[in-house]
Amino acid sequence: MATARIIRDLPLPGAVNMRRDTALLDAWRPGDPPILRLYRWRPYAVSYGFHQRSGDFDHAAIASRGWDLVQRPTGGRAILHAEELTYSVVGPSPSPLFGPSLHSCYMAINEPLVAFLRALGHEAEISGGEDRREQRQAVCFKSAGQHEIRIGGRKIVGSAQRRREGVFLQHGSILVGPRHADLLDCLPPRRRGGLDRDGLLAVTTDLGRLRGAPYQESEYADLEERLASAFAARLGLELVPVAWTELGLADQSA
Amino acid sequence: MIPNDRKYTQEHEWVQVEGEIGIVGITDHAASELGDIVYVDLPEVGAEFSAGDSVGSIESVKAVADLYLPVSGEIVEVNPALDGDPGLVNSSPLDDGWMVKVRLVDPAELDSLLDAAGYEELLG
Repeated sequence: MATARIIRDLPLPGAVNMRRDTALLDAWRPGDPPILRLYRWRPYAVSYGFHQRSGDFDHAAIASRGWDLVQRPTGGRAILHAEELTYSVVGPSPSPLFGPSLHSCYMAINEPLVAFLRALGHEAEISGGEDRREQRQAVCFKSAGQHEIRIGGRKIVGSAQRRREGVFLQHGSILVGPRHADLLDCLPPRRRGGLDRDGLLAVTTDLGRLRGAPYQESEYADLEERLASAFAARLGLELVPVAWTELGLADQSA
Repeated sequence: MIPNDRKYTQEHEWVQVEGEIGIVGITDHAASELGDIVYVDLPEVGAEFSAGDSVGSIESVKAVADLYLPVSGEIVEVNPALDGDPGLVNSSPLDDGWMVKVRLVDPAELDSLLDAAGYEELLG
């Protein structure tokens, strides 16, 4: 069985989380086994896409809540990382494991994500796509791009990818609770695309709402365990825990 | 049909040479795979790079991909139309969607790139 390395981080500030994902991408060399990283955010953090601008956000509103604002190395639009599980995968592309293309890469990683959701009793589906106009909106979870995962027509996983020569970084958020919708408080009104909190909640769902009861802090570890198991089973991988010091990345990842 | 009037890289860029200038873009295959392109970041005119350097990035609805320069040289022009209409890369990747023009410093580098047949073989 092929192996992959797994890192399970404690909840971290936004800048550290994005620095760690970027460090994994920068450090990857041909022949390295893939890396799966599972993490969360403390404090909550607004992340924005590689080509978005920091000036698009209401910095005072974010600071007054004690949240972080951080740019991602990947594309897409803004997310408030609050009640969610976050994953990242760094691996080779093209490759037998992730297929020959960007599309196959997304689909390979969607398999364990969909399996994870189905194991929780939720019938997940993969969306057909959005157009260029939707992509120019500010809010990530407002619309579902091609390859994004929905349940009952509502988006529950948002993912983004960065591709370099022979390697990709894909990271994504699995919504566990509804706090992500507070993102709208962090955007000037002109950037909200006519959306309000209820409107955003109407086009998204989360594990708590699907279960009919919010997930407690103590339940996240079990969700992470289930997610890691789904990656191992669906991709046929043995997941070997690895520490930042073993990767030689302790400095860059602090 | 892959045009045989230019060279290609394994990362799906093309370079077409006119005198001492190489015009660089990404292939139809790359543009199709990325899907609708929404932003293109290009280097400053006057910047100098080596072959294989990442000189910019392309963001689509699916991913951000680095743009690599197939040949060494100085950037002499970037496509101004892409700022307002990045979709040109999708609609006309081999012509109107070109990205940068570079003054070649070593035309022999072109010999190591793929010709149309080689690129067609790469695509399978």
